[in-house]
Amino acid sequence: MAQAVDELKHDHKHDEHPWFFHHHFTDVQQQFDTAKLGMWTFLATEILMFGGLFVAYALMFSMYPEAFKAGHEHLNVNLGVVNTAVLIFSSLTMALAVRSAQTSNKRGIIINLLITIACACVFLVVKYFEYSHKYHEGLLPGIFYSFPTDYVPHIEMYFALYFMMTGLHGIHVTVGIGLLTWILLNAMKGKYTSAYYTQVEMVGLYWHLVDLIWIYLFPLLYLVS
Amino acid sequence: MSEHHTEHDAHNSHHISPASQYWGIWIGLMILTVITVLAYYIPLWLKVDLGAANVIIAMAIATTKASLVVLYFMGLKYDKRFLAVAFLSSLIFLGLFLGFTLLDIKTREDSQPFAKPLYTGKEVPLEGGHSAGAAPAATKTEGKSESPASAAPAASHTAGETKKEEAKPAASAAPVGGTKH
Repeated sequence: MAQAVDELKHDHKHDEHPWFFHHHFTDVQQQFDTAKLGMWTFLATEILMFGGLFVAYALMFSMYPEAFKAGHEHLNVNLGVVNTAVLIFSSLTMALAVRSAQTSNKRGIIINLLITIACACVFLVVKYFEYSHKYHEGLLPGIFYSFPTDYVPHIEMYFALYFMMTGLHGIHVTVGIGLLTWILLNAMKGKYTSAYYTQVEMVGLYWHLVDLIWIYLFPLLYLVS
Repeated sequence: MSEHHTEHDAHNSHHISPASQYWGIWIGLMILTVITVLAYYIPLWLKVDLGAANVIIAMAIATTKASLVVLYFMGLKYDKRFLAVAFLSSLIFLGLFLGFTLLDIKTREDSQPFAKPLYTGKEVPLEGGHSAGAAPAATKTEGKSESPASAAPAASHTAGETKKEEAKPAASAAPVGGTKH
């Protein structure tokens, strides 16, 4: 028994463990794979969380298509297109940031993450202008709907879904900005190299999912016909 | 450009896609976005009503875009199949959720869950028993008036403990009885 412990200690002395390696994993590769499986499982639960809203949308749209058509006419398609382009571009720069980490390009990570964060902020600013416009017009969910003219029955249902879906997505964008800033600061410290970039990869997966949700939200909310 | 396609380097087996591929996918996504917007505007300009086909086209384009993001930006194409299974299982359950809910609601003739205006708290649901909402309310009061009767035999069996319990339903039943007489 004592001999076994001695051997373990001996092994540890001669093993060159990188700083990011946690002892309960077999090796660095298994540690990375574990993180990745966990992340994809989390993304699956994210799909299911948004799924509830998508099912609600499908039901309400199938029951009251006129209300949805009337509701979407209050939305500015141009702003929707701008936000779509901004998010897709941020997804590209995120992918390039992960690639820079894979190739140990510190400068590449920082520049691409900065562009990604800037795009996320532009998205939220556009969203803020859209929200404040709707707030002042009284295009609000349920009993708060008070737009004076052209009332179509159940139009408040469309705005309930609009605010819930874009709101939950907006919360995800805000959380994403926090995560991106976190890995940006780490990248500036030189934490990420081709040997270790798990956090960049995982935040990247999260950010692509945020883009993925918007890819569906944009036609569903802005392009109803 | 030597680092391209180093699928099995010394440290691990991570796939690294060339940057040109990411830019190519981005161009594809932008083109598909333009197509989505055109698919919305062209029928409006031509004044053609495609009906349900509109939604199907929009969703088909969105799914193509989503597939590009998942396969290339998220790298699922080059990753372990098990991750794809984990992710796609969520879509299967979402499909079940959506499919059965729509089946349920679309095969009922009387299903109008939001047909009435939303309850604002100003209306009184019980108005002299004339409104449609009176029926369920009536059964509620019956249930209340029955409760002390059913509690009575229990009280006779174990007098000490149930006396406290008996007192409560009796008190709540009193105002109901009062309005009846």
